[in-house]
Amino acid sequence: MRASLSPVHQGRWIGLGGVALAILLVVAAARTLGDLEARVEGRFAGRLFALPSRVYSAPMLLYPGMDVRRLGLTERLTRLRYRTVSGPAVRVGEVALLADRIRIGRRPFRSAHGQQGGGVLDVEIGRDGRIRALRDGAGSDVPVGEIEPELLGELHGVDRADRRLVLLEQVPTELVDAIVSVEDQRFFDHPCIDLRRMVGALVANVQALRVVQGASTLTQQLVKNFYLGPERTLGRKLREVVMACLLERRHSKEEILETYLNEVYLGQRGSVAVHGVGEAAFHYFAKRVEDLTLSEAALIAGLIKGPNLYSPFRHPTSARARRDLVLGILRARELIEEERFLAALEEPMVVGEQPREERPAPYFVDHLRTDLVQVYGEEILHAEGFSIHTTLDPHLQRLARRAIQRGIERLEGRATDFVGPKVPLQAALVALNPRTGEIMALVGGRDYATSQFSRATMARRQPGSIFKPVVALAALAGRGGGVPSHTAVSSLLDAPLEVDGPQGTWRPVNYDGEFRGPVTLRAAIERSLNVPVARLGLELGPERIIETARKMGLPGPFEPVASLALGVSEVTLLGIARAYAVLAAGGVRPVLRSYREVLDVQGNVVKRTPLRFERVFSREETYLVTSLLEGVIERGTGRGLRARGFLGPVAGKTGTTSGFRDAWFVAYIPDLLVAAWVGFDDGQSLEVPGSVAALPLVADFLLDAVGPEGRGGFARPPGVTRVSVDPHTGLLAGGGCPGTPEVFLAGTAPTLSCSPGAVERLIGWMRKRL
Amino acid sequence: MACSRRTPLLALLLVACLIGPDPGSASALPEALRTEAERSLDTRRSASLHLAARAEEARRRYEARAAQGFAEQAVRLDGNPYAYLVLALALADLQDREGSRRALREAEEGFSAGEASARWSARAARLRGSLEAPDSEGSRETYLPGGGVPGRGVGPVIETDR
Repeated sequence: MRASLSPVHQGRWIGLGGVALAILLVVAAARTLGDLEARVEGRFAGRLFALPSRVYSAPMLLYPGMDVRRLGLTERLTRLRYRTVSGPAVRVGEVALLADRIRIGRRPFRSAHGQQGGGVLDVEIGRDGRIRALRDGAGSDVPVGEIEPELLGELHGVDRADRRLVLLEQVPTELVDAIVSVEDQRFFDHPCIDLRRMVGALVANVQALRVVQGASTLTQQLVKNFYLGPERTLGRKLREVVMACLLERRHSKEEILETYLNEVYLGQRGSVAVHGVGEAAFHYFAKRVEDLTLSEAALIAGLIKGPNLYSPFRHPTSARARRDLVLGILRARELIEEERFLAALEEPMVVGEQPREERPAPYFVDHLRTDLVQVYGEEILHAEGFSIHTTLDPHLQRLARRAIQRGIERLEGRATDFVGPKVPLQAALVALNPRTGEIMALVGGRDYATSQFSRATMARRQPGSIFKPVVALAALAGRGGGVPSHTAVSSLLDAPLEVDGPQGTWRPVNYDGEFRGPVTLRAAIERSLNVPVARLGLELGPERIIETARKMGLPGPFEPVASLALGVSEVTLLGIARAYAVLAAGGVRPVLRSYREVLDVQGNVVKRTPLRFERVFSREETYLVTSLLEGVIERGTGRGLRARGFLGPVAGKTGTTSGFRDAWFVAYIPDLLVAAWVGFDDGQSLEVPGSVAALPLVADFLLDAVGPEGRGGFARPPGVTRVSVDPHTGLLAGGGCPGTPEVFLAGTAPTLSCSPGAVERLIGWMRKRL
Repeated sequence: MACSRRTPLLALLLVACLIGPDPGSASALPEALRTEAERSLDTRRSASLHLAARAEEARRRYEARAAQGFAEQAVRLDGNPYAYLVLALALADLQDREGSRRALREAEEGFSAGEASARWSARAARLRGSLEAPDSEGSRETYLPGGGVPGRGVGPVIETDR
């Protein structure tokens, strides 16, 4: 039997159900509201934006006497997006190329010694192409001038967005007025949504039977960009409205506007999105937002509707029309006067070339990133907006890239075997300031896009003969202040050698298979003779060579084997460059440095890497080795550098490993050291030695960087004497023996004069040793 | 400095002009560096010496970090002993005794190689004396006149002619 409820009872149950449903709905709504509020506040109270760290080059130093043709000054100003003007008067960010001078309206920037104010710098150029004088805007002499650093790249996280944070008070009123006028005229009056505008938009859209008009307020746009994404559904729209109201309830209009100005999407630079008016001002006009003109502000405001549609780079006509429309709105709302309105309409739209997403030093930036990730971790590095001021010289970096490109083309043109193998020919180059250990240029391969593996910092290869100066220094440096075991004229025997070891008998040979009998240490290094250097290594013992290598900054690991002196323990190119820096810097070992400072987004220094160095050999000891390496260039395996037109004082050494698997060349002048490696990743033979494969790269770089005359020379320290000796016997010249000048540590020069009898005595002595 | 031969007093000034500013006098160091810069025929060295002078001026303004930055730039351009000396002074201001010693050693080697007058060597020697003094309150006075000036960073090393 079925029991039926009376109408009274039925009504009661329906009423109760309704109440319960209402309670449930209220609870659900409250919970949703709570969730949305937590979501809104969670982001707003925390870090609003993930700011990529920016990597900057070193600033450019200018001083009288510099050769402007070798500086790349105008190219640098172009890359820094200085606008060329014709008149002598320049504003910030402008350059005038006058008859005998370049006048630069420098931007303020952060230098190693603090904030630099920028200001006008007159670079007066003499007829010889060198800087005659530098003057400031008032015409006073400036002994040393600086140009701002270049942006080398950004360290992005997953979100590839660039933005320069600005405070509301930094943004010109005209730009704020323009944005509010075109996007949300009643922004300062409505509670969070603009009902009047919504109704208007609804009517317009219904009439047109499609979406022709939006009604989103700035707050809604911010909520959409910040929290919700682009989906177009009713649910998303409802959430947008609720969240906008929650945001307005907790935050002031100014706070919301400031966040909007930093968030709004305003264009694209390659794969990186341009967000915020600060970044847009720089992207489109190479200016700080504070310096925007009325016309430029109107263009930026107009871009919000369609950054790519109205891009002044791609669609200048549409961009101009849009700018003029915004100016018209400003005038109609009486936010600008008629006179300024007309002047702004007349203003040409100058945006220059679209900035590309350039990466002039990707291997260097990777090297830096590896260092900094260890300090800060990925998340902080990609989100805190650090400015990293590096040591890289962008001009030298470009020369390095060019040298690599030319060198590879030359080799591939020379041997058809190099073209088209599975593994392409590779090359790497490092340039250092040997005194400071600062990396000035670094290229880790022929093409970063196809291979990010850096042959400059990651690849460990056998150094071959490039290691011989380490052995020479071990021989020529006294241990513990004692007298060294050898001099540059010490005799070494170039004759067949056999050394028994655990892996069998080792029989070193020279590159030409010949033996020359007794040779001096100098001749062995200059001609890169393996057998006498192997003998020298055996005389010194592996411990002494390893100790010297470690003092020069080569960490190893080193195998204490007979062949150690011929460079069998693997090294990186950067490691070799650092070891040679000890020779170039006169015995001082610098700590390698790729950056000088890290600044936070407010400009506070959060990390510094000061100049660090340590004297590990005397000037005299390293001068002797430098002298041998000057001989390599004058008479030895590095004479190709002279043949290629480099005339100035320079020391260098070639290196080739067994089977021509690696080609090396290092050259240095007192304030610049260049090291290059050429080879295949899989160890295929190059078929040519270091003097053919690697030397030309270094020659190209040096010639471009410092010119054929070079720069400076190696001063002989007071503790080194120069004596004329017979190059064959190593005895004092005279008595019928020809002499050539040789350098010795004071007190170590030979005392016996060369005479026929002396020569015979020496040969007799050598025979006994055989 | 204007020079004249009209009076004995001005004759003394002339002598001072010919000798150049005394680097031993703390206040004259930037001027002495500029004099060296003007004398140098090597433009790179000259620029380095001007930067060293700026470093010394920054020290006098109690801007030790800026001084270090200028001095590092000076060394970067040219390894002259003056640049190393000013770097050593800046590092001493920052209480980096080890760094200061290393820079000073380079300065001393350069001076001993005959690159400067005995007065510069004497200046380096005074800093050496300060650095090698035991780390006591007394020696700290040499580093930080007045114990450093609040809000102005670390004070410069003041070496007097005591």
